[in-house]
Amino acid sequence: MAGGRSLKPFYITLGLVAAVGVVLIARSMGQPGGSASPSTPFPTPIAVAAGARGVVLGSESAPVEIAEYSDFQCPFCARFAVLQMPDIRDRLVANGRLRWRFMHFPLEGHANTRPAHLAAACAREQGRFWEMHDAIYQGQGDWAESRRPAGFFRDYAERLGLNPDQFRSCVETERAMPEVEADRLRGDSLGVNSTPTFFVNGRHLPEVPTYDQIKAIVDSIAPVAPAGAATPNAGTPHR
Amino acid sequence: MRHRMAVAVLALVGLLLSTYLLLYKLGFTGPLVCGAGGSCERVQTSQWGVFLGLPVAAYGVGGYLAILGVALLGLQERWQDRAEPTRWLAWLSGAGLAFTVYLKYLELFRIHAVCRWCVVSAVLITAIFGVSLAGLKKGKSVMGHA
Repeated sequence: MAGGRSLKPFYITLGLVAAVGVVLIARSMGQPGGSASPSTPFPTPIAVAAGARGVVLGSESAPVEIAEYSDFQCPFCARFAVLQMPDIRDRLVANGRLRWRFMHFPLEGHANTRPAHLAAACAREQGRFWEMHDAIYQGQGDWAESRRPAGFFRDYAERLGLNPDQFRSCVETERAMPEVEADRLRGDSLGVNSTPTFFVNGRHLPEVPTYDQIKAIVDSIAPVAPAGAATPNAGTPHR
Repeated sequence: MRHRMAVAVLALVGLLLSTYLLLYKLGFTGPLVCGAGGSCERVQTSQWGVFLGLPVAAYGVGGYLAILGVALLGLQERWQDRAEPTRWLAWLSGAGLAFTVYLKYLELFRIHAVCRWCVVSAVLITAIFGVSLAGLKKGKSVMGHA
């Protein structure tokens, strides 16, 4: 093996391997905007609403429902919950245009996510799921790597004014865990394999949307009625 | 020099694979093309998908890039007869293999999901290590006969 000339076939092979790899990667990046590849495992549309559980926020008569499969220890989920969710609640859910369904989807690799989901489910017992949801996501950086995450959730419960005895008994007996598991199984059956995953009226949304994108989706499905027209779907958010 | 060529090709494949996984982790690609089951995404989105503040795939990109660089350097005329590049390749791939064993442990015993692409990467780094060791052995025997 002496001299550059005898290496030419090798460099050609190397170049071909690189070219094939770059083309495959470029294809995986999809169309501009990062939409799902054709290999997406989600059949569409999916009748997700029938029999679905989760925690609902918004009017039952809202024309659009978004189901979010979320993991409390997932950083992408926290970013979405902290940055996008407040606007979604205030500007789309509160006026009855959108119903939000939170589905528990604790990922197996997240050591502290199960107690987080249990704490949220226990807060739901006392009608304070969404407050606990916010506290857990906002504090994710504190408890995610902690060896004793339960203490953080107890503090959140105290701060939110939950009945401490009821909360403690719920956590200790894990009586709210079946609803977490039910959501998780529902997600498994739909092919959910990462978080957060969204379904708009049962149709898989292949990206993590911003508030603007969600508003555009809601606008396209249920355009705003002209000024002065009745808004029969408007309702107060409920838990 | 054949072993350095083989290492370069294997490292290039590993580099492309790690780049793909890194781009996924950074949100530049759609769902991972990984077959049914979603194990790749489960592994990638787990808490162990990040190591010392960097996505694990970034270490793969860096490692394979270093191996590719050393292998190509070892093919240049002035380095062809020297043993150092082969030694460096063995050290680099040995470190990569050790990290891979740690990652496999996490997948099997902590995450309980095996990512198909990670298995491919494990096979690649094992092959690179094996080829590098073979190159070292061959180099020693050549020197012994000289």
